[in-house]
Amino acid sequence: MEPVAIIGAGQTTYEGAKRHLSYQEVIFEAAKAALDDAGLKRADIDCVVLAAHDLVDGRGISSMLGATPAGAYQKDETRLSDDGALAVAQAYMQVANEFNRALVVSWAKCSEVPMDQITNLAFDPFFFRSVGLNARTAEALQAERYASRNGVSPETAAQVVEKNRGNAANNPKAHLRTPVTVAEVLSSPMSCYPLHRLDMAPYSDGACAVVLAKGDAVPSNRKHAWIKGIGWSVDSYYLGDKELSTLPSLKQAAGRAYTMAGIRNPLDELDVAEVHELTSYHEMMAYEALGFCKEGEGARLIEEGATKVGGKLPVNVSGGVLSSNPYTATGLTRVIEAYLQVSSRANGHQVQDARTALAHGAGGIGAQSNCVVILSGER
Amino acid sequence: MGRSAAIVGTGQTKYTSRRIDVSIPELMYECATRTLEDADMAIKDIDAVVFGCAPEGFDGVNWPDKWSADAIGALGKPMLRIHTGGATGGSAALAGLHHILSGMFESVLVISMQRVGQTNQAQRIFQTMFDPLYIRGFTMGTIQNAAMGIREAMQREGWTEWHMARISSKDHRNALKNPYAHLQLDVSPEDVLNSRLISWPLKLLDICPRSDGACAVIMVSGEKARKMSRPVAWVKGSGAVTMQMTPGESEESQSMRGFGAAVRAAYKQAGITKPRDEIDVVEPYLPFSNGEINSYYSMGFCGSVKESIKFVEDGFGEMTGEVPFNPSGGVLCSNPIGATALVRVAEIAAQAMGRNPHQVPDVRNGLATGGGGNPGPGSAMFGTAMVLGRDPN
Repeated sequence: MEPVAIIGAGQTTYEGAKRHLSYQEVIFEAAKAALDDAGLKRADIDCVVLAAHDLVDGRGISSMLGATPAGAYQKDETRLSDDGALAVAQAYMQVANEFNRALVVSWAKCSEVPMDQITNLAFDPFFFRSVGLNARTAEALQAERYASRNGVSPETAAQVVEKNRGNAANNPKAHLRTPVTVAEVLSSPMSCYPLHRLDMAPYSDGACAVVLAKGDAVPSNRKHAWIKGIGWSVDSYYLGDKELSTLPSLKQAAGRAYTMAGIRNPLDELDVAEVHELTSYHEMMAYEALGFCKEGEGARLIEEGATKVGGKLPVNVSGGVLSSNPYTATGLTRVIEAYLQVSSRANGHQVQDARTALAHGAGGIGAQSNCVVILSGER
Repeated sequence: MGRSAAIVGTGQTKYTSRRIDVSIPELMYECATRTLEDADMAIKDIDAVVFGCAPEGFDGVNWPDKWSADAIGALGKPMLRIHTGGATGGSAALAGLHHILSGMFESVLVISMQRVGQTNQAQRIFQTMFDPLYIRGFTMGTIQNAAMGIREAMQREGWTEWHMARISSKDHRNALKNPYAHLQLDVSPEDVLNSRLISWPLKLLDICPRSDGACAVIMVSGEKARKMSRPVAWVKGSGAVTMQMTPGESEESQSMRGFGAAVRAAYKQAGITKPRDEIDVVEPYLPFSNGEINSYYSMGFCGSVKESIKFVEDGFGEMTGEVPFNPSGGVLCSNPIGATALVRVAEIAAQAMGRNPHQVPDVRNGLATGGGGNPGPGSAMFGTAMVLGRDPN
């Protein structure tokens, strides 16, 4: 397969509510920024891949009004109703197969819909919906199981928040840019046991986009992010059918991406990682699934500071999902942050000598579906 | 490059207004199992899954793909969900094709569904497609939107309600032989003309139903397909194009430009220069009876709309005509929305394999199209096309 690179990216700022902009305007801003970053015009793009959820957008077909500002008019375009990182996977296959350049765009304006109700609708109408399960409560079940099975204290979880929110202060695009301390996390209201309010990601408004290219369509005048490995997978839907303290489909996705990229020891071979931490506990669960440590040892990496900036493998240098969560677009945000790191263009939060980066996007309830992308600054 | 792909199995469920006997995962299990049996494969032989479903407002559950993951055997496999409105099944088939041709996978299950019967407010859900600030307030639904464009096209192109009725009668009579069809009605053009007026010039029998159902195909690499002892359907060309959504402004809503561009792209890849000589059967995505009139022209079977009107009168698209259109009965007889465009692909694949219950004799190549969003007169915001054939390119 011919190597494929990310050659440009664009992000809006992430905010609690972009009341001054329609969702078409938010989409346009990100798509245009990605084209500008890649030094391209809309005419240079061969195909467009979108990721958007109807119910999150409050639309019957959210791409019906979203495709045009995303630049898809008269183009080969498809839309995923899935996490934005999976749109990168689809675009990767399209470029590897047929096209020279693809534009990937994802968005959400969470402020316009009741997210707890929207995510409650993901549960089957017979057994779980009426129990009141939604994304938050399902994530809390996972967090509680993880904490009790592995003896993880609320203080350790709060350290994840302190790390990510501290990092977000250096990311001009982030939604929550005020650092918080462990004490502040622990004294924030108990929202959904064991999750304090600050253990949970916000819901944000925003959009982001990347340009993928291969061969001669990759300009030689600057560094890019070459896609070295990519994998995705899905778990069982029913919460009762799985061990809630683990993320098996993330482990499978990572396994595929590592095999493709030839990575054997991720902790040593990766320079930076952006994971999709739905809550502070989920970041530690992700460490285990991604093979940064053994199962049950995620907390140790936090306690040792191994994933802080300056540590062995900095994770979520952008501030992660705990700082910005444009829901559908969140996985694509992770890919963009990994791209910025390996192309040495992370404004304000660059990790020195970041050559190989991992990006992780999650979809469904409690990360039922996961995608892992390995990017390298070298072809 | 240099890779090829073929469809080696198809599966459909009986389309009906309401499948009250099954849940979404049960329906998907039925469809996936039937498809695997048709391909003579087991779920362990499948490398990846592409799931198609259009607005989940119809189904009443957010992400029916995630709910169905267990039932369709997707656990631990790469799976993603496509949604381009009515074109979903066509876009899902194209996504599956990219899975294979990129070299990432050897076999893909492409499976699509919709349960429109789970809502009693389908038109209100359609209405949420439109912009909440300007258009939604007009209580625009798909049928009124289409009727506006059809009125304009009738006047401009010079065809009548009788031409629409002739097409509708043909499709409904074709569906009598399709065991999966939702509506199986032996109706004459006169019956269509006399059916209840919904939004002039559309009568009840000019309009597609809303169905519960699922459809799937299994696509494999050319290398794998060559080792199979049974006939397969080779994917010879594909195309997709997205137009824009502004009914009041876009001329293409009357001109089928979207569909046409996707079809031309597919012909080009398939090396088809004279569709009338080289395409033997068509399953077009046409939710209203007028659509086929213009399609003879926009799909390259004749040189003008005037000629295509004559084609209707001469029965060009009948089962006994030169190029049968919709042997299955088409969208007018079965419309499980997110699966409808994949049904087109599955029907053409079965025709190319020579084992369709309503087989057209000696099919070398067939054309399947998909269309979604902004329903003008047979036009679409999202258009897809796929040419499948008996022999590889």
